[in-house]
Amino acid sequence: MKILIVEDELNLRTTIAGFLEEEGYGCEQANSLENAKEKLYLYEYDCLLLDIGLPDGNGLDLIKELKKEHPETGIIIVSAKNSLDDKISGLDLGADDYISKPFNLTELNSRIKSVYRRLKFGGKKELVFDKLRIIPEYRQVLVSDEPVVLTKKEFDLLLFFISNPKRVLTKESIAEHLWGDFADQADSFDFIYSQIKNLRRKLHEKSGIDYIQNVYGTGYTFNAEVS
Amino acid sequence: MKLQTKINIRFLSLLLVVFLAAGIVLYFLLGLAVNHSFDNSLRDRSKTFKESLSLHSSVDLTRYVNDKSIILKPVEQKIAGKIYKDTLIADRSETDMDNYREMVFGVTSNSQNYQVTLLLSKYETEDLVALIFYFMLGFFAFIVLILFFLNRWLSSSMWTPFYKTLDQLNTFTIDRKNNVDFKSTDVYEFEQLNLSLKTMMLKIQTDYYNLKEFTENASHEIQTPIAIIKSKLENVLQDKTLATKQYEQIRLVYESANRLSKLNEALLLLSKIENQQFPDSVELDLNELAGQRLEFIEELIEYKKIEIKLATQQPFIVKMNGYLAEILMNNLLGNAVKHNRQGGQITITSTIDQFMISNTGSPLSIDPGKLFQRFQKQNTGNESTGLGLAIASEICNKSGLTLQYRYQDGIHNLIVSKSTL
Repeated sequence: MKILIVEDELNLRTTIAGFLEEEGYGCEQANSLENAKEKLYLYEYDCLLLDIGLPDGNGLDLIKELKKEHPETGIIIVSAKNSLDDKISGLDLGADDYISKPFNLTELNSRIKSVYRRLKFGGKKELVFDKLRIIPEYRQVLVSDEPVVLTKKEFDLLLFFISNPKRVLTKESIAEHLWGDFADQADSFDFIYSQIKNLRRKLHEKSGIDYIQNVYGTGYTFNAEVS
Repeated sequence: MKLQTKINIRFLSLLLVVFLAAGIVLYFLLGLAVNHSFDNSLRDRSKTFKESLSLHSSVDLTRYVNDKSIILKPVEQKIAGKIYKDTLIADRSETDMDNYREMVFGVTSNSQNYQVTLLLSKYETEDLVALIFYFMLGFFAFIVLILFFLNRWLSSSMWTPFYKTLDQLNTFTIDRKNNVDFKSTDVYEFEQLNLSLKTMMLKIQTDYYNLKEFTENASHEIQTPIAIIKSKLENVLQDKTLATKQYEQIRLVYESANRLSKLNEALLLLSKIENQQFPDSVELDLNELAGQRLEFIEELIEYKKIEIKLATQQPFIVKMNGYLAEILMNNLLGNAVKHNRQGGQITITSTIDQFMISNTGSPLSIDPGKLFQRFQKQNTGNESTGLGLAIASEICNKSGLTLQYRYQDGIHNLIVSKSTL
């Protein structure tokens, strides 16, 4: 899977690229709109991470062009402005998702995967992880081929974990993934703790495996090896 | 009281005093002048009297006795010198007293000393004096009246530039770039005033804008470095070879970076609301929106075992920005959930003119008057930014709504109502 990162801030760009490469993506970087146009002309990408506040122009113009030429390329807008207007106009122009700075890399990863699934497989692709099978389209989870009933938030949580296996997902990033803007409005950490406990129990009941591990009070990882 | 009116009243009352004094002085001067001329004619008469006495030494003085204007009185002692004075004499009908001027002197006839009193009626001249006096009074009153109107007209035309300046000051708003423009005037003081005011107002506006721009730019520019810090830390946290001690420290740094990022986002949002960068407004029902947001946090409410009670449910229609409305509702509901106790209640009451969220919870530890100020936190330990209600209040202010807090019987009520402006 090939990703083009369009971002003018060098440090941020390399950090994102480093993270995504570890995840097994092929990453290319562009530091300006001109640079990005060049690369998009020469190569094809599965996903484009587009910072819209570039020094040489607004990235929004690129979206329409790209979607006309390559509709299967996923576009995720990255914005420092957190502005609703940008979000709406970006999505109107054909962008697939929107994430505002500062974001969690694990969140970005799960967004990329979700966009990829949607565009390539129409969301019908099953995600398989060890004994788990997840069908995102129907929000269905099978453990050892037996269906498990999860609440909406538990399902979102599981999908977030499966998108970022073996990674430490911090409490903060989980809260933001589940609640978005609401994360800092209510003390949601206790709630997350209880949700994870429930999810852990439900998965354990059917599979006999404890997939979720606590990491030093920071967050959680999702692993198959540990039993 | 207007300055013009005040000056006018002062001026006229002083003028009245001056005129009154002048009137009195005039009256006495007139009296003196009249006396003087009377005394002259009395002296003339006394001369004639003495001359005729010396011509006819055998004149029978008693001849004069019955004359009204000469009174002769035989006296022992010879009277030297002469005395002028006013006197009152009853008139013929004896009901009124008339004013007379008299001259008293002594003569000697046939070795008999007499006291002679010459009398002259002031009756007619008195009338004249009074006439002159009243005429002057009338004239003064007329002058005062004329001066009053003249003064009013003059001062209102003189003070016009001042009142224009005052109007400008009244309509001056710091956050709107209305050009400060004073009309030039030929009065030195007003020109100086306008000049100083203009310099000051422009300086205030520039300072205000610079400060605002700085806040906005600062929070905006801070976003990217924070994003880098956060993602780098997230990367480090993935490293499983880290020692527990280091891990713990990095975790704390990560949490602080997260807090910083949230604070910054909230401040940025606040400054955007203050700058009114959310202009599009639509008509929406806050009560309906509350229902939607409640659905979104259903699990959180269930987890805290909070009971949601819906009291009166009429639509509360407001005209505001949709995004801001959502933030407002998030913050109000989030506040009601966060500061609620396990197994508490949230009551939502919506009528046509107000929307109220009431929740159970421990009493406020901060001054209720400061509840909507920035960084007011119930307990400093938790991870909230202390900006939630400040943002909610600012959104209300900018959307023509009022946010109020009331505490009653252990229930916290946050009330959104339409501002009466």
